[in-house]
Amino acid sequence: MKFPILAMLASSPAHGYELKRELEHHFGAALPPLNTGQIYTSLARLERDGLVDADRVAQDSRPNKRVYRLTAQGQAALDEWVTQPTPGSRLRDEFFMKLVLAGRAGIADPRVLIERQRGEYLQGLRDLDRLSGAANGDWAEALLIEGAALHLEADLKWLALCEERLNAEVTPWSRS
Amino acid sequence: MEQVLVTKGLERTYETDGIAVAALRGIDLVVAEGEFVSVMGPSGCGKSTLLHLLGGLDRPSAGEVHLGGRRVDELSETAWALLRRRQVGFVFQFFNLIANLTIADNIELPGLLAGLSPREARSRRRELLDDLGIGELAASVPSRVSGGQQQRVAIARALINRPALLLADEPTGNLDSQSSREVLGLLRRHHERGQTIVLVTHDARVASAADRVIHMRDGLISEETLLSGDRDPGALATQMLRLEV
Amino acid sequence: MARLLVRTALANLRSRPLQTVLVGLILAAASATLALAVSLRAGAADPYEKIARATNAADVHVVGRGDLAALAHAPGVKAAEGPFRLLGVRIRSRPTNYDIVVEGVGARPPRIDRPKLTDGRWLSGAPGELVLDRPTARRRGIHVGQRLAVLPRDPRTALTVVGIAVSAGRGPSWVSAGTLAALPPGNDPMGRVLELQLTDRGASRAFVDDVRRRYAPEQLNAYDWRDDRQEVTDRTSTSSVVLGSASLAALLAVGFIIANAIGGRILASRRDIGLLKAAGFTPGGVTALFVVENLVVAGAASLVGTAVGIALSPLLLEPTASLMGTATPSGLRAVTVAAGVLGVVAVVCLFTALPAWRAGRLGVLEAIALGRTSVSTKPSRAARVAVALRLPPAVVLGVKDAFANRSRAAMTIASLALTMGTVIMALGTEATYRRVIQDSSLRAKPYELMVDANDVSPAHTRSLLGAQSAKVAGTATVVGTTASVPGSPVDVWARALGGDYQRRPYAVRDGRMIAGPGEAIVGRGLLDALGLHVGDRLPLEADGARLDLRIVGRYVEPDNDGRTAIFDRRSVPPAALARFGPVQYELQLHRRSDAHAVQAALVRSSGGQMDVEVTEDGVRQERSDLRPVVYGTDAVLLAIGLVNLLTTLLLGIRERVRDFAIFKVVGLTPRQVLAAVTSGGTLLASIAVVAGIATGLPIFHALVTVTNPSDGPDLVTAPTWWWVVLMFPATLVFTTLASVLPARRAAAIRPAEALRYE
Repeated sequence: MKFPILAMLASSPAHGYELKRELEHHFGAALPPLNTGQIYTSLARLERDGLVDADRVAQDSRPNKRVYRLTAQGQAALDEWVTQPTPGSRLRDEFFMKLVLAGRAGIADPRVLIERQRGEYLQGLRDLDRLSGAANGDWAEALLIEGAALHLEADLKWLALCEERLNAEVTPWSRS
Repeated sequence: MEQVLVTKGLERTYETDGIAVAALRGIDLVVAEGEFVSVMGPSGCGKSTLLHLLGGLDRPSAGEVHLGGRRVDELSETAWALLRRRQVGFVFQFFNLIANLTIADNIELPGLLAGLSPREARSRRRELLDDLGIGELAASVPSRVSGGQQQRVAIARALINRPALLLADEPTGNLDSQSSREVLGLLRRHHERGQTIVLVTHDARVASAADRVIHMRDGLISEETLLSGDRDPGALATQMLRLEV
Repeated sequence: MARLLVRTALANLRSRPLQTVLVGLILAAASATLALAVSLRAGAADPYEKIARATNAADVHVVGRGDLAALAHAPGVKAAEGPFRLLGVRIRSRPTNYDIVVEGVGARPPRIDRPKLTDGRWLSGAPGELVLDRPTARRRGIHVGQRLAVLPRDPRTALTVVGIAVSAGRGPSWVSAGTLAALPPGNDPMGRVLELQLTDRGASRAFVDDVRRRYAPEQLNAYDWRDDRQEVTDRTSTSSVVLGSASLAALLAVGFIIANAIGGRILASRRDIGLLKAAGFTPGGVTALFVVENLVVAGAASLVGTAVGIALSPLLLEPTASLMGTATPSGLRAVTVAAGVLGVVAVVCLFTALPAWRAGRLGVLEAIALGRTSVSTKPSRAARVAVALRLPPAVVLGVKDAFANRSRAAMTIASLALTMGTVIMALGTEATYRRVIQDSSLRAKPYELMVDANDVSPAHTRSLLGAQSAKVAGTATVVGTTASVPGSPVDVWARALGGDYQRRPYAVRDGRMIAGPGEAIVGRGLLDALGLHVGDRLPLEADGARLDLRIVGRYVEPDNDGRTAIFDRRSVPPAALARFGPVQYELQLHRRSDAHAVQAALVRSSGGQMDVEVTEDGVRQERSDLRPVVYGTDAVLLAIGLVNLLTTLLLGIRERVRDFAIFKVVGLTPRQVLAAVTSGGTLLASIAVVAGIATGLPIFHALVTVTNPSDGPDLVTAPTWWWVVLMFPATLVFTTLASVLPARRAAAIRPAEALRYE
């Protein structure tokens, strides 16, 4: 949450509730449900690290709200985050481990595992497709769905590769 | 529900230079009316061969094919041609439009062959082209039209006689992603209107548009996945759309 | 680089076996045709020079009973041969007897005017042997080994034909001096002949004039070699034109065919050219590759084709030589081989290099794009018509296909039209000959039969002729003699007409037919020789009588160089008339009477005494001599046209395998595929027929008019309409034949295979 908050504060200072609303506005259902507490915790951490500053703004019948803004240090950190390439997402680690270990241990037929996973991915694609049809033209959401679908495509290709290697190689964990 | 297509023990073996290569080693398949079936598999698994056999473009070495309840694997070329006119529409990877006919003529040709009057053929053609959104291309020739548009024309040609079965062999194989999406959308639309489709592809996105995905390997069906199109998004899709922050 | 080119070229050729074989076949056919055409032109060219050289022809013939030996040493004479005795001999034959002239020669053939043997052998010195002159042999159908009975009948004086030979001009036949002595003296004392060669050939005219000045015609007369040449030329002029145009048509056909076969392939290969360039070939390299490819095929094909052409050439050259009265030249000549091989190879190079060069200069992408879409985008008019006519879709597709590649369609139509044009010309020739045979007014001889009474008395003759009155519509009498024109060395063959000559007048081109005594119609040669025109006066001296005639008309006289005059016999005093030659009877028959029946009847009733000639036989002979050439050329051109159409269709199908596969996918039955291919070919051929008829008829008309300026326009007959109409169903058969193979290939295309790759 650190850098997205810094990026939002870069456009204008805001308080916690405003930040939450903006996040929901941009990313909607893609984010897990947020509670304000998480935001404030993150903000506190950022303030402790000196990346943001808080100003107290007096309100009439409410406790004072704290309006946060970027510090120079925070700006520098943000700039670095923006310019540095972001590391990519990782493989479906869990399935990979399942495939290797379950086959080796003999608790499941790797081929069946692959088939089942493939079915899962295909249905996933189908679901994503349905979602994209219902998307209301929000480009951010559309890109997200497309990105997910492409990932699934890649996963399916990787599954096909695994299957091929499975057929070609005589390994301890292949059932003939 | 009527069974549009049934195959039993379908085999196809090729002889090249004295070596027999089995492309299909026994396929049992049933496609009901209104189904959308896609066939996937690695290169050389026999999926294109299967499609050709279903459409009578090739003769099986063994086994049976039934189309609309009628046994068709032993029909003569002439009988197949007549059958294809009304019952089967074909869409190919390389579009395969006739170069020296206009778009309109390309689409109307099967209609005229099937006995439609020129006027009927023309009106159906107009309907299809408008539905595709390319009505203004009617007088052009295939060479002057983009790949995506050509494939849409090919689909229109395949559908002019409202065939019982539409067979598609890698229909998006030669298209960019945008055109692929459009073509896929088109196929889905027609499926929603009741068209039975059997489609061969190596593109998972395309395959997932079907109700049933058949996976082939080494001339046999290795697995079948049933897909549901109108349930709520499952755990995988939902999870993949979650941002991790 | 060169090695790579050759290897690539050979690999390309091997990968397309059928196409290579077909193109090779066409080029071989083209070579054969070229070789034949060249042979034909050579065979037909300058027939006199050929025969003169072959026979060491004389420059001057001197004939008569005077002192010939003295002339042998006259100034200007380089060599002399003879004198030889000449004799007119009567041969007994059916349907009618005829005369030949024999020359008595020594054991060896004469050195000057040496007869060239075409059949059999020369005289051996044994008695009774005859070497017959070829025109007579052909005309009377006589072969070596035949025995000819001489009249009056005497078994000791039969002649056996041991050989047949030709000589320049109107040569005699040859017997040994001993044989001639044993023959009964004819009633035509001809004396002897001396053959002279002069040191200056050009001075022969002066020599002849000198002889005529110094000697009376009954004593000695001299003839120039130019008369011989005129004789040969006259005899062969029509044939020359026919042969000339046939060979020209063949040459054109060859050009078209090669252009079609090669050019079409290059056009179709534009995509390959693009790919080659993408792979690194320079434009020059591309051109070189295609040229090498086609050269390999052309080289092999032209050798084979030329050999075939030379082997076949006797079939054409023999009748040509008979027609020309020359010896059959050899087919195997350096020129022919050069033409057949180098000609085709050069044309192939040209037709390959140019389009390949142009295609090579296209950008890579352009070429690939062009190669994929070498079709016109506008629907052809013919296709629209086909649709409007509600023709079945298969036919419409066939029509569209035929015109898909405009330039190739145009070339195919052009070459087929050429073929059809020659067929039309052949039909026209037949029609013209038929009309000339039937309608005697179109010939120079306005009568059906010519009767020589010989020893039959006039009264008996009249009664015999009267017996045929049912068939005979009229009888004219003619007596002839050689007349001279005072003050000029020109000899005129004068004919005095009597009897019914007005009933069937001679065909007069300028002026009119004679109406009575004192008027004459003359041949063109006479007008030219004397510098006279129609309307001038013509003074003649004939057998001691002086005739004063006025020229009222010019008619066509093929004999005697046209130096003839025809007039009423009453223009001649009876005393002189009696000295004219024997009476001949010109019989005009009723329409549709059978001339040969009358001939047979007269010969029979006169006990073989009368000689009866049917005039149309001469024309028939000419026609039958011409037929092998005309039909031979047509057959060759038709065969080539067939192969041409076949190849065009096959190549078209080869290029459009994918399209045919798609047709089948979309629901065309194999039979419909057949129909599509055949209808395309039929349409092209039909257009070609119409074009061929449209161009062939006027060209035929022009040809006949040009060769016969005087009577061409009257003679030329268009073929009867139903023959022309018959060409269309014939074309259908033609195209069906050509379409069978391509259509079967198209129907056999397997969509699954054809559509597999891009």
